[in-house]
Amino acid sequence: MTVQTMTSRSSSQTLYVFAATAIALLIGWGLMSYVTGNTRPVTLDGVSAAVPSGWVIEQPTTGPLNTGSEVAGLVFTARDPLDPETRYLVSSLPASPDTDLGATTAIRNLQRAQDLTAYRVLEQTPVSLSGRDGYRVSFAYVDASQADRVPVVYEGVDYYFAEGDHTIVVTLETARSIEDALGAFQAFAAEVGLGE
Amino acid sequence: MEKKRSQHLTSIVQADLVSILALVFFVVVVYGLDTLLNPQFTGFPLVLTGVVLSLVPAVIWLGFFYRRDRLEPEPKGMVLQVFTLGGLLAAAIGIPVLDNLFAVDGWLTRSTLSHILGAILVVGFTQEFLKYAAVRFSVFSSGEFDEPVDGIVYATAAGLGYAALLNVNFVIESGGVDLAVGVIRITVTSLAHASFAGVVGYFLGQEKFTNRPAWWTASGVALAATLNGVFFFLRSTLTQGALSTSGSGVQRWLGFALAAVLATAVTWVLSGTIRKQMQLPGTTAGGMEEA
Repeated sequence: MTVQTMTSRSSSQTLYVFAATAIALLIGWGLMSYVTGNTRPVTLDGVSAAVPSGWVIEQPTTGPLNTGSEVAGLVFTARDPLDPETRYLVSSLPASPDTDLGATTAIRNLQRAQDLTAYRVLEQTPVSLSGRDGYRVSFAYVDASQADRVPVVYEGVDYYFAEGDHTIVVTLETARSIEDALGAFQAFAAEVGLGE
Repeated sequence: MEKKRSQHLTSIVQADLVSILALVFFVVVVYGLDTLLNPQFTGFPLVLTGVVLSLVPAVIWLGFFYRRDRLEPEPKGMVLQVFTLGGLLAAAIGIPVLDNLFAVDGWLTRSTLSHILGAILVVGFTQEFLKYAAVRFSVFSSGEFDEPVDGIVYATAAGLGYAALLNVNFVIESGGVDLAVGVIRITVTSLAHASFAGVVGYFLGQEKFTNRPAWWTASGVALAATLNGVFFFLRSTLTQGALSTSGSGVQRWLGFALAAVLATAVTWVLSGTIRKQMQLPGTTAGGMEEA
């Protein structure tokens, strides 16, 4: 076998590798576009959001919420039917334009600490999410409400945004890895706001 | 001749045992120190911790694979260069492409189907292509790559370099939280990346020294990407967050155990393949398979 033959054979092998990788990444890009764009707009009680398609929406008055951290102002809960231990909660609280978000978080944390088992605030800090200034609270609690199963540790994140005369609170709660769920949740939280 | 081969095999098995014991010792020490002292790292100490925790398993696994090339061991400097190149490609291309361009954290886990497909098509192909490139465009054309098994040795070095950078990134991003669990993840991830890269290396070695169809190496990259994707899926779906407090104990470890089994199985097959190649009468340390 000549060196020239070997070189040309290796070149075609390399081309095939590049082509296979390019095709895989293109399909991956299409998958990403489909997944991220596959949402349905929802407007409830004046709060709009883009909920992932296929997710079940429950309102406090219409569905069996069964959410351990259900608090005042809850507008709706969205959950993935394939992963019932992960849910997004959207709440809207009346507020004056000069309401301090830090004070609002303190009140909600206090309420949760009274209602939930072993509620802990892990971190709270001002943040900017997709250009929106807000407040983030990371928390954990134990859901021991169901007698037929062992208590489950839930981790969660709240994003507080001031929107005119309301404070919008978007919450992620999961019994799975919060690191895995956080990226998708942040994309969801960035879209939640007041309006039609 | 047969006696010499048998002695060599015995010494490799002994060295492998020492490697495994060293890894177990390392994991136990880190686990124990983290549990007892619960240290909090920030800034430079955090980076240093990440580098040490990532490099120790990488170096031990590197020795594990390097020893397999017993006929004509590759120059250590060259292996180290490919290891470094793997790490550089991870830092310069791999991590930015997955975290920023594809932003996999934001959509991959939205459904099981998107998770498994995305893990293979995006994560697997990106990572395995870069490991392939680290070998193909550096040592592949050099005179040092002079037997099929060299493909596996160099590719595992690239894979370990890639894994080391991923692990440093992992420790820093998690803020050094729960290193006791993290060190197990780091050790398994290093083995997984080395073994999947080894699959690519096997196909590269065959490409250079045997007459294979044009799609040969591409199919190797695709196979490695699929294994990589399945590993990624198992680890992140079933682990229930190695660094989180959520999930029951059994669930929490199931994914890790399955992912570790996958990586170990691929390593076992690779080791067998190397042993077989070493015994092939037509494959000499000088290069081409005699036709």
